Amino acid sequence: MTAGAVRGRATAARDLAARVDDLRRTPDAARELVAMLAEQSPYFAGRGTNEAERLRGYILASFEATGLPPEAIPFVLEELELGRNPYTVAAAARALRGAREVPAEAPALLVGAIARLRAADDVVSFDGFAPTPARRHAATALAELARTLAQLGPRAKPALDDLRALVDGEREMFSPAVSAELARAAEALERADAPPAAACCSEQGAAAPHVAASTAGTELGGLALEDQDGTRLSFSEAFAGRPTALAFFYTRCQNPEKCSLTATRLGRLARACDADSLEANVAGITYDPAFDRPARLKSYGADRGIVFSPRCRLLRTIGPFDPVRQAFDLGVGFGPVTVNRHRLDLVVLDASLGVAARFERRLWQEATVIDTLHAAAARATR
Amino acid sequence: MDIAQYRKRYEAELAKASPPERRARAAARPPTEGRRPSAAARAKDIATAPLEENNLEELVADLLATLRNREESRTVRIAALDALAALDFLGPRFAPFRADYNQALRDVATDPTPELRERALELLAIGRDPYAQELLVQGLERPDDALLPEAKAIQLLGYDDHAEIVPLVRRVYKRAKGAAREEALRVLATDPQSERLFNRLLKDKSEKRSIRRISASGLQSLNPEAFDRTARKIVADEDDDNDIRATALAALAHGREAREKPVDPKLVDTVQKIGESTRSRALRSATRRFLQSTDQ
Repeated sequence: MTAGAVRGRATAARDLAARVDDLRRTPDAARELVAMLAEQSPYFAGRGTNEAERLRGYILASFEATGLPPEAIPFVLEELELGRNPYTVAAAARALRGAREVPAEAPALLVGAIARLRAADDVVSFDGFAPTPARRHAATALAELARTLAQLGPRAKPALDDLRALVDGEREMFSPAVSAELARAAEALERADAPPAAACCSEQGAAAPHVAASTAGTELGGLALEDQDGTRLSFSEAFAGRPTALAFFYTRCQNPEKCSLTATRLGRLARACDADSLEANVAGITYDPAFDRPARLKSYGADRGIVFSPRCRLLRTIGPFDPVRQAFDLGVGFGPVTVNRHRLDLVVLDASLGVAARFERRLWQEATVIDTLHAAAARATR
Repeated sequence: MDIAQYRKRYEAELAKASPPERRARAAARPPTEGRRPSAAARAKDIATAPLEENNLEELVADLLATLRNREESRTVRIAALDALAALDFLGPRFAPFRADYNQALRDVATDPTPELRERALELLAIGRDPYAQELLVQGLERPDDALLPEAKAIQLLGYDDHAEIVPLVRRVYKRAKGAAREEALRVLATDPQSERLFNRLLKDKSEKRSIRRISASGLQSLNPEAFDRTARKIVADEDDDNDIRATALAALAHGREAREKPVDPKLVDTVQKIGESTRSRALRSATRRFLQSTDQ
């Protein structure tokens, strides 16, 4: 069988990729490409993770040609911060080359991505959509990340020390070709003859909550849930009466920076609430209720340091997850069996189940969530 | 003496006098003019070379070239692939070569040599490589073009429970026989929609033991409570196969312990009676383990 025969499969994905190709050549089409990136969009529905990731990467790489609109920046930063797939992370690096202004945290995230992928480098090519064995000397993901740093030049200077430390400390992990690219990047960052760093979007940083009060949670009051011990209760019974930090996850998530870390952080958040004498619930609801049965939830949480209590649980819906996805407008897409891609989502509910704040796409910090819970608790006592 | 002759003599002397890792490098090097050691000898040199090497870059480059070289003997290429797969275990020290290694595996995935194809596809599938998955899916959809036997292709695709293969595997299961049917069931053990299928197969006394065992494992993974209900009936059914009864009982004991469920005195009583009356060694052994787990 040939690579050509492989390309004959997955017609729908190929058609979508052709649409992306058209948009790459169409003036002012970048915003249409951004709309295609939402995890819950129908473009990704029913696809396996690999295909969804590949489509996503293909779209992201297009921003190098179309220009990177501000609405796309959170998607790019998310991928650089959390991505594990060399193809998609390299695509985010390519996207950044289309930015008119560089997000202030982008250089550090590029260096972080180089560190994260240093043992998993792979050849990437964005010339066509179908996975094929790329040319022998095509660029790798690490080379793409280094080239983007080099292109940013002195604007990425704040990341120079981290880049040097990485290259010096992990020298033996980089191929000669990647080492050369990293050396060129370091030289470019050091150059003093370029304009000073331009920054935008720093407010989209990791810890910033998105305050968008809504009554979404109240719609779910009667929704049936089951916790890690098999105890059944309604959404309202689980969460009403005190503020709640509610995150979303699933146990077979393949990205340790996402669900596994979320569960670990929920455990730490619960302990921090106790230490702070903060009357709050801390909980996670799985995207994958048919698979994540109570025993699985219990061992997953316990392995990640969660100490279960009536205020700290992992839960699943009895029945479909869709009402929760719709109520909170969660960024999650599903393949034929399980999740194919999701963003990070944490919502802070007030004591009446209204949404007080939400953290989307980027890593949330426990201290910031605690502050938000305190604020929600204070509003309730007023 | 011309340069080619000089090089040949130098390499021969080097190989004779050198430590194993240098012999391995010489063996892996693409053929030059003149006589070389036999393919079996070169494969052995590659296979017995120590993994810790001072000049990994040169060794890996030679091994990759050998692996890609379709003019080279099958034995030597397989030895090169095995050596590369072993070097992969060096972890960080192999990191600089990973991209080239992946590319070489993709090149070999459609090689005319079946053993090389299978090994390359397996190594890629473990890493959930999209290109390898596409090739394997294509083979299941068009069996005449398949690069691997159906059972092997399903097994390799099963390494990725996030792939879109489950609907395809459900279809393949319906037409498959023998090993392919078993592999399809193993893949479906991650598919909550297959719970009823597993329950039905586990109960079906006309099914092969292997199919019922895979179904027991699949059902217990997908719905432990449903498995418990079916397994208890099987354990108590004297007309059922004793090996399957033993399997069900062992899984009940394991599941109860894993989920820290309380002991059910009625089940303990049933198991005690089975232990006293059965002539099946497997079943008697399973009852003993079950009762030990309940401290009875």
